[in-house]
Amino acid sequence: MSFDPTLIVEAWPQLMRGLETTVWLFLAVMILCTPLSLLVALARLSRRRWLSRAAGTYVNVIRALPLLVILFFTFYGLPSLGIFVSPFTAALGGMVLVTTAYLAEDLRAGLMAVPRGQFEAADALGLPQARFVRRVLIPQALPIMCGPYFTRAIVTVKATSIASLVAVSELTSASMAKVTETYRAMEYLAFAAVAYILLSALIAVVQAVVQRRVRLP
Amino acid sequence: MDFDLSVWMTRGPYILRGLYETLVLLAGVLVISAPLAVLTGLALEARSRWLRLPALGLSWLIRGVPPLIILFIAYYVLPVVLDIRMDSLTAAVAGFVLYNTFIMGEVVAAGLRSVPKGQHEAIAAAGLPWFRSLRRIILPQAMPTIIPPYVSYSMDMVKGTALAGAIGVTEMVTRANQAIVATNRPFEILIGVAIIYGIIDAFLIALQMWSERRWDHKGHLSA
Amino acid sequence: MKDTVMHPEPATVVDHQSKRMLELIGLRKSFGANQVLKGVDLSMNQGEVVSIIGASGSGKSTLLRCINWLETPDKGSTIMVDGRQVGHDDPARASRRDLARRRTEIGMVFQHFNLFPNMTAIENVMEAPLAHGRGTKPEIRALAEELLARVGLSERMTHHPSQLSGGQQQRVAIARALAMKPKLMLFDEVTSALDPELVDEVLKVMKGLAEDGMTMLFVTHEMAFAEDVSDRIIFMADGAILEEGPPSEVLRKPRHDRTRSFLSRAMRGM
Repeated sequence: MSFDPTLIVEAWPQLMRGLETTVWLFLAVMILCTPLSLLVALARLSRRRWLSRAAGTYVNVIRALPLLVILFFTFYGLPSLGIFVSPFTAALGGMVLVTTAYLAEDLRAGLMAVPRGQFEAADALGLPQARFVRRVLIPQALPIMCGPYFTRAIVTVKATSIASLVAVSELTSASMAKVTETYRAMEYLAFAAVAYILLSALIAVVQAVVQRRVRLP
Repeated sequence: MDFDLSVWMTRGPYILRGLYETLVLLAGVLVISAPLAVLTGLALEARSRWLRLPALGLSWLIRGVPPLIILFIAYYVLPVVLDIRMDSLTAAVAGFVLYNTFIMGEVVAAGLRSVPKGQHEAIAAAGLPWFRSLRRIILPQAMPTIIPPYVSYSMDMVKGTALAGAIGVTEMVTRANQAIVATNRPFEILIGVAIIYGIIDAFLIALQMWSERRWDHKGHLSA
Repeated sequence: MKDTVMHPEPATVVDHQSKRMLELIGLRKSFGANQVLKGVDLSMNQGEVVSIIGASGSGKSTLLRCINWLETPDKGSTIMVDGRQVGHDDPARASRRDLARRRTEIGMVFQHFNLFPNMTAIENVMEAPLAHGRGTKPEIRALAEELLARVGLSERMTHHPSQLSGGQQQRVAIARALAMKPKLMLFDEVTSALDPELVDEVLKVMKGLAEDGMTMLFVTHEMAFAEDVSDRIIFMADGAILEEGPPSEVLRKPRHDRTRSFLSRAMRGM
């Protein structure tokens, strides 16, 4: 048994294409989920009972299911409804559905950590609700939400690997294609593992930078 | 689109048989990784740098890799390294135990950190033996902090078992997948599977509430 | 609006001292089975300064917080500010938007300041007028500068709350409440959270406001201050008004035993 790094060098273009798809999938998920999850979190905190119930049901149902089952829903289910999309789009849709639910819970905790007095002061000043959310609530919740947000981002970048099981040619899929092609597993899997670790580390670096920026004065 | 649940009459028994693999996998992983997680947690909080730093590094690495990749490593690489034969269920247990040990190890470490420093000082002052005080004093107090994330990660584990299909374990979702391909009835099959996961989840939530009550009680008594 | 028809504003110039600014009729508030306010009636004329005193748990803070509906009063309670009802007799029918508008007529200052920590002092003061479109940004900035100068904080306008002392924060909070040009100001134990040496600077600002003719309702533990600025003192016990009158009577010649025993404890060391 030996480790042959030249195998990775030879497969470099394929592996890079896979890595690229992983990064795009991850970024697309986060870009779509960030505003959506904020809306869901606000809906859960809404005084309108039906709205908070609907949001709560969505969040709890989704979180009870394996991501893979949700991806099967979008991968097999959409075509059977006559909606034909690429595996990438199907995976993106499923991951947005799931990540929004988890992220909404993370963000809700941050919103709830804003002191009650801030709500009262805004009420006493007669600030309209939308303005309160934009000018007071979110700026103050931001530093609290930062940590959980990036933790979720790291979970999400790892979860993109599951898209390989619904025919998306991302990093895990590209690595496994080489494994089955060459009957050598260690090199490609080590490459994939290191690539994911580096992506997680990169997210942690971004977190450190952002966290310094959003600190309250 | 028509909706026809009769597909469960023909394919249901086959899919449900996958619950066996799902539950064996889950039980195996949770039982084996629990003591390992306590050891990992202790190592993560150890005073000795030689214990703490490797544990921290390893934990950081393992938690940075997707569970699916760890499963592939357990299935394709581990047997070669150890020079043994391993069926896919054993490989899945091994892979998930590795992953879960460090996830739960961090939970245990956080629990240990939550115990007031004064307790450690009191133990040292009284000269109590290490293992006994760990078991009788420190862990019971750490429990209220440990249990909620422990249960929520266990639920992640329930859902994670679906990934074992990727290395050939015929658990429930894999069988559901096969049934979808054979019948082209994705909605009927997936909704059934979703309901089963909902039931398992509800069971774990009940378990969490029960254990929180139990430990909270003890935690308050000793606090 | 219906309320305006029922309570028309007098068209002629009125004697300011007799214009009703606040009127509470049968104000009740319960938290679950616990009735905290047991039907309070209270009225205040324009320019009047009233202090509410009483032991903790007597309902005085809740009374204040019901006036601008931070606490929702029980069904059947009526709150009139400047001749128009705030909220609705039936809480279920109160409109949020209408409430927000009415609250701009009622300034409130809190025990713990509740400044917005993500904004500077002047941004805190400008926020509500901006939200309600009370003029252009330069106009509102000029108003905020004027108000901050009035509370003695011209030098601290661009500081964040975390860079200000408690007394300074509370003065910003007063300026913030004044920025909406309220008809009535509510002060809820505004010096209780302050270090003793910072209390006077806040009391001085409030005294200045009283002298300028602002209608003010205090909940306070500062007996000397209450005696100094108030036209009237109200003693509350068990969710009801037990005694009210000019400070010289309530504080110096109380009629009830409970007032007397409260005062003997509160005035100790004065």
